[in-house]
Amino acid sequence: MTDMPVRRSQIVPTLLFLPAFLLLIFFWCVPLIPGLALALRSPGAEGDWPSLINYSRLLGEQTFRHNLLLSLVYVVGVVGAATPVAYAASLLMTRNIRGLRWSRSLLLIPWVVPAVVSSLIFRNLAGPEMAPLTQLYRLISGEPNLLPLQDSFWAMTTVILHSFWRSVPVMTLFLAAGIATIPTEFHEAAQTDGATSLQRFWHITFPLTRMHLAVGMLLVTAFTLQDAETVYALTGGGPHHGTEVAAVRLFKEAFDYGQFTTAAAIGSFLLAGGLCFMFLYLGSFRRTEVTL
Amino acid sequence: MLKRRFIPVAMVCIFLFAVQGCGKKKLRVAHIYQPLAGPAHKLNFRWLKGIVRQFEEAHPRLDGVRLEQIPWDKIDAKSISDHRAGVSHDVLMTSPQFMPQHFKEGDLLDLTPYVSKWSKEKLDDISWSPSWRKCEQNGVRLGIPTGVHTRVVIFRRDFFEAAGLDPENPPKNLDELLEAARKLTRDTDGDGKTDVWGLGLYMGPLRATIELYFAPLLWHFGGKLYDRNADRAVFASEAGAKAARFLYDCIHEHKITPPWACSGTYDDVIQRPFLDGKLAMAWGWGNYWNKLLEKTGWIEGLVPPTPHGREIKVGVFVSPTKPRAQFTNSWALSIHKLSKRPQQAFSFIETAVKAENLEVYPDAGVPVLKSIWAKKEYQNHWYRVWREAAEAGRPMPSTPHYYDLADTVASALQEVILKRVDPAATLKRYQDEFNDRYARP
Amino acid sequence: MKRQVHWLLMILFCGLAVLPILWGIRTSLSPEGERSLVPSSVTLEHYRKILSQGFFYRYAFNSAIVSIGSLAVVAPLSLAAGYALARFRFWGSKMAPLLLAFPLLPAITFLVPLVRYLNVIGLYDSLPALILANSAFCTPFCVWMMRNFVHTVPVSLEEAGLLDGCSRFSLLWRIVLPSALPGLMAVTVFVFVQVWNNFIFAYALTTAQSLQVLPKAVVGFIGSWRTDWGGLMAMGILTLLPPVIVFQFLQRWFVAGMYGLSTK
Repeated sequence: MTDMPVRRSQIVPTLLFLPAFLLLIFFWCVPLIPGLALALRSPGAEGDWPSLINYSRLLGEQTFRHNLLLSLVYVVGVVGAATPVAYAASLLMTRNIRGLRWSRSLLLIPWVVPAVVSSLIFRNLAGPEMAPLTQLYRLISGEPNLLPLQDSFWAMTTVILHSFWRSVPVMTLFLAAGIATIPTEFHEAAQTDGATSLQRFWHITFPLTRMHLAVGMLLVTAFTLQDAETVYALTGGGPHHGTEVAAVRLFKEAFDYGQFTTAAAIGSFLLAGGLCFMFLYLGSFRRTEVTL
Repeated sequence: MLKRRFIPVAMVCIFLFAVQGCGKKKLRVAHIYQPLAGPAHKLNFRWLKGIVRQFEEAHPRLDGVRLEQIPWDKIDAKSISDHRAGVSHDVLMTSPQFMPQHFKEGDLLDLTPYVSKWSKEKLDDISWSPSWRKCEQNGVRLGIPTGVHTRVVIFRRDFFEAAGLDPENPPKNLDELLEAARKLTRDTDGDGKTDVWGLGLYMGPLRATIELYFAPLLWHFGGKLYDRNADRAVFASEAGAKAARFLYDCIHEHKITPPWACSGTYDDVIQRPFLDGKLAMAWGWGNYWNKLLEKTGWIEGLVPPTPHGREIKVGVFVSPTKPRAQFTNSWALSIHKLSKRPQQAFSFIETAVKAENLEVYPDAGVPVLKSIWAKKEYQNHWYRVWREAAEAGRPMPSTPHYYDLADTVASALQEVILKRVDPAATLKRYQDEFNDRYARP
Repeated sequence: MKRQVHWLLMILFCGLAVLPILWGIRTSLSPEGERSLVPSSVTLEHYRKILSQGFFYRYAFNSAIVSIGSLAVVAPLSLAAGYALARFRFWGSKMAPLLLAFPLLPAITFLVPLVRYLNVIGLYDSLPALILANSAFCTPFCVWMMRNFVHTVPVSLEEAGLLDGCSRFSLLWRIVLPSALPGLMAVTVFVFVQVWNNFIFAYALTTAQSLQVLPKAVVGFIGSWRTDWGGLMAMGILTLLPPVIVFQFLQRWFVAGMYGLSTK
């Protein structure tokens, strides 16, 4: 452990911690409280407080329940697809193979590209008839006239594909960081015992990178759950609400329809959902012992 | 090492803090033009800068103008959210469709006291247009329109002739329209796939769907989008089902409309394919696309209008529906309620709506001032059709939830057409959900 | 054999990572209305139209100011706070787990109150507002990163410094900072990329023409009556170049900084 012994003087750490703390209080917490409190106000400039009408309306609405379902599908789809690919990429990245330094920077590019730009690129990739994704989907589905953005399944697939493409770099980095901390002796010992690569992965790599995986998944989940701008730019929530995840609904209610109370209520749903995911990840990945 | 990096950065920050205080006293004009985004935006931006220059020259003692740019489909919403947040603006470009919402929110200033000072001629010159009427809500004038954006049906004269149709006698009702479209839909290269579609329509996830395509048909069948008195959406009536079925049939039954009409933007689905020769007729052709026709030589001397303008390869006719009404709107100029300099703001607006300025405003569309229409350049068949469309034009209904209504109906139509389901039931479901959202508790 | 497979897989991954960008480049170099997969002719028209306008450079400058300004705020704050959390047990230690919860807070929800709030302070519609909002957004994760990184730095150096009579602050400056450099580089890259690419704060907190940043300008290409895809893609490619370049230069540090993360 590299911790210092407990100091009784609190001044030094307080002074060091305070600037960041104050920044977060003033720019996150102070606006957030009235922002979320709006959820308990009834619609209109002079609404009643407190009121649960926003929640009862939203939960009673089929479209909103569909929005929540789509958000779940979106998160599960992106995290589920990104995790194995990120593991594969991180395993490759941590090998000492010559000339792979350039490949590392290329692999991380999706995260570096602005989200609005990449979502518009994907929109163009799945839009016109001769576009690559359109052709690929047609091949897979066997429908020669398929237009992905007019079909809720393929439109959602494109949305998930885009976020997956953006998320893999982040998770890869975290996992690679975790893999790099595993002493090579573990793998060598396992190899002399005759373990296959798969067994080595499952019994050594995976357990020891659990925490990193949890943090990576948490960040990807947070980004995906809140992600309105990329989905909005890619499909606008269409066709017929087919890709309208809760975050897009939130964006529309706040910025297009001017329904701030509804938007706040949706925001609280997203926050609650995010916290659930956080407890799920951190809870199931708490154990870090490894049996050799 | 880092110390050296921090000091210049700190200085820049201090400089910025100081500088940004200077812009606060200027008159703020919010517009939608992004000069980088292509020639159309650039020209409009240049026009706006011209107005700014005129204003600043006429009022040298004032602090000048500060331009603000907000995306076109968000500017009304931003005015409202900023009003709630206590942020002020001065002059804003606004859309008449949102006037009911602006009235409810109270974020725009009543211009009646200013407009009442105008001469009778000036008022007569501008008050004929549907947008002028729409910009007034319950006796409160919320905006001054700067042009007229209307739509017609455009067609290829050569395709008409090849199909045995008379270009001087375009369809006058829906039956004739369908018949003509059927004749015009053909497979030119014998590969079994349609190459030229008879009737271009757009049914994507944007407002254009209900504004340009669903509403005119709904009106034709005797229906309405919204009942102002009952404060409810009523688009799922029998008329609505008929309108939806008409659009559905164009794609799936008569096959005169391409199947890719349900996604993308409406310039991707209507304007570009028409110019590429993929559409023989295109419904909902907006006057803001006419410049492209001039560029390709399909019309000559019409944009900008000259006394010897003529149609070469294309022709236009007014929507062949019973009230020959196509959605007509425009951009308007308004003053924000929280503006600290309303007199200056109105002065700016007056500069902008001077006849000589409106005449050269690219985004005006067709003229909003009767005096401009009276000029020689507008006395030809082409502009007579556009004038007829403008005069018969209708705005969108008076609902304070317009954006949501437009999205809702567009989604309903998409579901009907893409999932091939019963129009009546689907429209009803969407309508009920919309009404429940805003029903009084 | 195994090595070739690894190489092949790596090339596959890298190819897939870069493919969409290549498509964007292809569209930005194609003439308008290009229908075929491989463009019939290459044109620099879209780039020329953008680069010939003064506004582009103004927007790029604004983006740079906001990014560098945010970095100037986040770097020292996260280093200080991260160090405090790593080396001491005090009232702030209990809040360490909360750091990871911050990314879950939906930013859009508090944008309207934030606007009102900034307007009251007089910062609305200014670059400092963007700098502060973006800094607040990046700080939690950067504090967490720096805390984990400082954990990996051996304490012996600091103890030696203390024995020599250094004050805490000069300790931070002279000893901790140099050894935490990879971590700080990671923070630099993270903040620069996040802030440069940020659209939502720019959209909500600024309206002035002269204060636009590049991502907001990209969205402006989607017009009410026309969308210029070639120009849009060209603008997009130009916007993504600076973060990619910054990343290229600092990626070694960035990866090293990320590798410094250990389990809690």
